[in-house]
Amino acid sequence: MTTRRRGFTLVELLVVIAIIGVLIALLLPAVQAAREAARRLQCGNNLKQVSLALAAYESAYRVFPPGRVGCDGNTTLCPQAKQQVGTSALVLILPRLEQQGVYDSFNFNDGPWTYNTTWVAPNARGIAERPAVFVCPSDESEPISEDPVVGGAYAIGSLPAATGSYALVAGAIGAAQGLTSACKFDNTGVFYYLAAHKVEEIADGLSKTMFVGEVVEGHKINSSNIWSRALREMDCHRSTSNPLNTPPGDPIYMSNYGLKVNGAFGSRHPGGANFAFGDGRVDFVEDNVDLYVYQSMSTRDGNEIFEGAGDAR
Amino acid sequence: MGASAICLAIAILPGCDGGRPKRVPVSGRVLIDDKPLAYGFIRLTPMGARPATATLDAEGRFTLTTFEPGDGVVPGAHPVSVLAAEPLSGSTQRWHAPKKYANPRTSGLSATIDGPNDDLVIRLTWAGGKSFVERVTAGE
Repeated sequence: MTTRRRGFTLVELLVVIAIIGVLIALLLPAVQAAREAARRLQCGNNLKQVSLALAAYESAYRVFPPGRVGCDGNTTLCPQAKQQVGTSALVLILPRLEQQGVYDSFNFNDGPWTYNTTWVAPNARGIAERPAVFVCPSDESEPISEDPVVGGAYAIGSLPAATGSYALVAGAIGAAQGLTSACKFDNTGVFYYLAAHKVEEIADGLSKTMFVGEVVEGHKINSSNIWSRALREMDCHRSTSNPLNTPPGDPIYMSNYGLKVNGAFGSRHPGGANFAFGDGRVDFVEDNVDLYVYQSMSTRDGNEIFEGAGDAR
Repeated sequence: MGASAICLAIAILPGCDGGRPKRVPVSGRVLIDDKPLAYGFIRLTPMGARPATATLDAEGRFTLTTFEPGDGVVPGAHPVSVLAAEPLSGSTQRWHAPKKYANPRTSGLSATIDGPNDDLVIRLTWAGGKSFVERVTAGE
């Protein structure tokens, strides 16, 4: 009589482990994709909040906020240092994002982000704040900017400046056009230096004009994205002159000040990025989009109306 | 649960490069008045697809990139633009080629890509002009 011991043979065990292994291998990408889909949704929801806050600002003041409140060092347009303020529109809409506390911490009589340095101390707290509504869960940026200018040139020790995942759409003029004052002062979108546009000036229609987009690596100097500041092709001031998802530091970049700034929008979502439009809608734009279509969606009065990217020309 | 997960995984796995059009590797040179253009960027702007871009090296050579470094360009006949403005400071730049080449609508340049190409030559001309420094009225 042979006695069979109850249990599994080695082969049986191996087969079972192999099957489980295959199942897990199949499941893992699906789980990761589902997690990313959830992050993308959350990310788009933040964008919607920002675009609704822009709309609420418009309701109150009858203009959209300027992308950058002041000039650069241009003394013809802005003779006084006080007018040369780099504050971004995102600062102006803070009260409409339930961030009244951060808004109140800013001293608007002195900056933030002017050329002299007296503004740094009173505004340091607000600049270091990172409201959650400005952060996309898929974005892997560090919360604090690595830009040495922020800590160095402004002289008061190291000022930690908080980064964000979103930037305003200045228009189609940017790094791929070389240096041009139009990028700052006469761009084709809605949010750039000084200009506060009215709704009727957005002739393409609010639902056809991109207002806010996503940015990656906001803590790095070539793709700096400090939410409280707007600089040419950096921070809150980006353009569609380069294709969506052009990696930071890749051509076509501007190399002034030793940087490689391309001002492109981009995201960590596979295949494209979210954009908020003027009517508060959030759409996912594919990074294979025709450059002409992409740029047309960023202009306020280019006379092009696109129902779906790529099918109209 | 298991079956639906497998279906989901199978549906998503091929999607990694899904929707991306076929590209062919393209490299070449940009010449101005038969001499290499020593500074600039080149871009091919296809209709209905993502543009391909490259930086020129000191001999005017380039290798085009659409999605991944060096993956080339979508086949077809595409407008070409060359931006050759070298920033000297925050408000000055040297133009190594005429401004009109920087815009695909005014460049008058095009390239027909029907397969891999390792010597696409783009010819520019100053037409009597020469390299100049432009001052832009915009500070930092």
